[in-house]
Amino acid sequence: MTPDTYRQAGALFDRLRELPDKELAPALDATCAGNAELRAQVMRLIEADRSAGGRFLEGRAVEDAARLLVLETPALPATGTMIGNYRLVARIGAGGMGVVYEGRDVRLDRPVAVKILPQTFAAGANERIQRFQREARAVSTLNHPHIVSIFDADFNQGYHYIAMEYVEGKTLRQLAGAQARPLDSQTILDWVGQTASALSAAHEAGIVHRDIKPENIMIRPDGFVKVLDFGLAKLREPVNGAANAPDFRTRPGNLAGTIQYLSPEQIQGETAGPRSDLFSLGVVAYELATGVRPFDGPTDGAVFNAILSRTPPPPSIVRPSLGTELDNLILRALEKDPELRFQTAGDLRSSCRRVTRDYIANAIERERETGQQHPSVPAVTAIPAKPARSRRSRPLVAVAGLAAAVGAVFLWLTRPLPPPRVTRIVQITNDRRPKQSFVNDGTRLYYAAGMRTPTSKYSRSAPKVESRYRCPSSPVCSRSTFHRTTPSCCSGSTQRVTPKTPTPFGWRLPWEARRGAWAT
Amino acid sequence: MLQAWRDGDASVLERLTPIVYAELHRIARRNLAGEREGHVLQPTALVNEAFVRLLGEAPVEWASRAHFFGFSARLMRQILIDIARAQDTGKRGHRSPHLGLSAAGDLPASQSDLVDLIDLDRALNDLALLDARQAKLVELRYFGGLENAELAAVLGISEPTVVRDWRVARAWLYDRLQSAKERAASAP
Repeated sequence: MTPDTYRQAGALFDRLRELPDKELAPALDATCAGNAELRAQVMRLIEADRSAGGRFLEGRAVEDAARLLVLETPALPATGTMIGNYRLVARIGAGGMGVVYEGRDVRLDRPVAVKILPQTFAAGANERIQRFQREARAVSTLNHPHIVSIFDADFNQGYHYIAMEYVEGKTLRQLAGAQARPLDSQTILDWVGQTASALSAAHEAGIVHRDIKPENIMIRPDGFVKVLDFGLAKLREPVNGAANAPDFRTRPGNLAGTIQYLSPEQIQGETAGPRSDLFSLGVVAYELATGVRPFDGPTDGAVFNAILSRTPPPPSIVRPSLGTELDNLILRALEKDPELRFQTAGDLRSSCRRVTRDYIANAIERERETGQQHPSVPAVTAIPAKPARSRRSRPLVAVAGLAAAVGAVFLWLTRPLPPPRVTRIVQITNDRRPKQSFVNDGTRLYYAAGMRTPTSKYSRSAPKVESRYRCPSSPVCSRSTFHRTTPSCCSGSTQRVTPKTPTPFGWRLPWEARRGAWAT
Repeated sequence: MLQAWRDGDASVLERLTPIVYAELHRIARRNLAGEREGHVLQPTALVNEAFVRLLGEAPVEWASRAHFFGFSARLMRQILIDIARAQDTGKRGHRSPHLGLSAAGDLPASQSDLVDLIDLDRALNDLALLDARQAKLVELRYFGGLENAELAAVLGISEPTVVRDWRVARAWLYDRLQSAKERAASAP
């Protein structure tokens, strides 16, 4: 074929390829005008185009080459194979650190999980294998309910394997995929707290996880957390450890799979410490809370850059329905500087518990307050139920209707304010900010801080403190009191709600009432 | 640097090969784990990285973007073909996927999905004799990872022309690879 024929065939192919079959042949005859070679060539192109489908060469060469590579790696053991004392029953998962089988310990007759390590480990130096044994031995000494126990680690039938406790449940990654609706903050706090508890025990034993990510945190059906693969990530790093670390940054092969959970210090090639695990757990918590990863990007470089320099928005901004109680906790775990994070996993765990406690206390209070709401509205609407029959009764009905309407409006305007929603948690002690007008009603503390008080003209005519602050459903503040300035109202000792515009006469403006008054 | 490489200085190739190889392993592991998401390093990024490592911090001064893209794509093609050849040694004609793995992983169901890079390399050389621009286009797109808009800019043609040329070249290459496969199958 000559370049000329090729060019002509290409042009015809482009013109004719979308014709239906029965029009194709006549069109070819007409355009090729007896040039049999050209006609055959166009036909070949059209047929090839159709059978090539949408995938041929549409990916990138790198990916196709990688697929060829996978096919060349040695086969994994088939199910039923015996490795050591373990019979492989079924393949249950795979990750950068190997393939996991459900197995059975035939000697003790109990279920186990058997992880077959990738062949790249076996191919490594002797030192690597020794290190693997050493690491596995260290991890096997960990005995903690939230840590998946290691029973055995050895080399058998050509495979390096680890036998460990079989856990029924799903990893956070699987759960996140299956979950129809997002998790509530209590569940997140519970899971993060349990994970922190596992980390705490490991850190005390001198073992850093290094690879905390949703794939390594399992949740049993009863909500019990089990953390997998302690210390194994260390095996992926260069044998000489920190000395080779800068290399690890530039060699993509060493960053198997997930990089979004690495801490800034890990990316910079420093040794991962206990606080690196807390950062990674923070990333997991953020993702659980919002459904998005705090540090992400289209390329590895963009992800690294985000981890090193980007401060993610608070989770409650990303998912407003979440509430703000998790913000401080998660953002603190995500501090770039390890010194500013939680210092120990124990710290993080107790923070989780404290936030949970406050959250529950608030929920109970909210419930109590909403329970006290006026039952007036249904009563009013019930009045005009009976239709008037005679003409004489019409004015009466009109008056009654008007009265009912006025009554309804009055009740609507004066009904209790909705319970405050926590918009932000602030520390009010030792923050070096002057507070004004402290009022205590027994269960709450009210104060004004950080605002120009008193600013409105109403404040001068209302000198008494209790008339300037209105507290929801409080026994001390009467219903006629209202806020005339813009004070902060604290419930418990650390929560604050910000009221809306001041209004005279203790009434809220209708539009305010509708959007929830001063709960913002 | 480019000149140096042309002159037979294989150091660029040598330096780049391990990086590409590591990236291939990373993608392969990811595929094995059934992970669909994740990042694939752009060929241009790989090449750029190789140069940065080769020359220290100094970024390479390229005559033009087009020049750099063209060079990256050619380098990438060379490396991948070399790797494919190394894998292929002595196994030509009877390469078969390991069943254990295909059953285990989320891998392409059959070998027919896979492009034989060595055959493709030959077919591309033949295509270059018929239509040099199209061969260049395939190299830049498939090996270099360029998008249509970039291709149009680099080749100095319009985007519709890129799309049209691509479609023709792809059909021709497919036809070529199919007949190569058939020949291999019928050979003893």
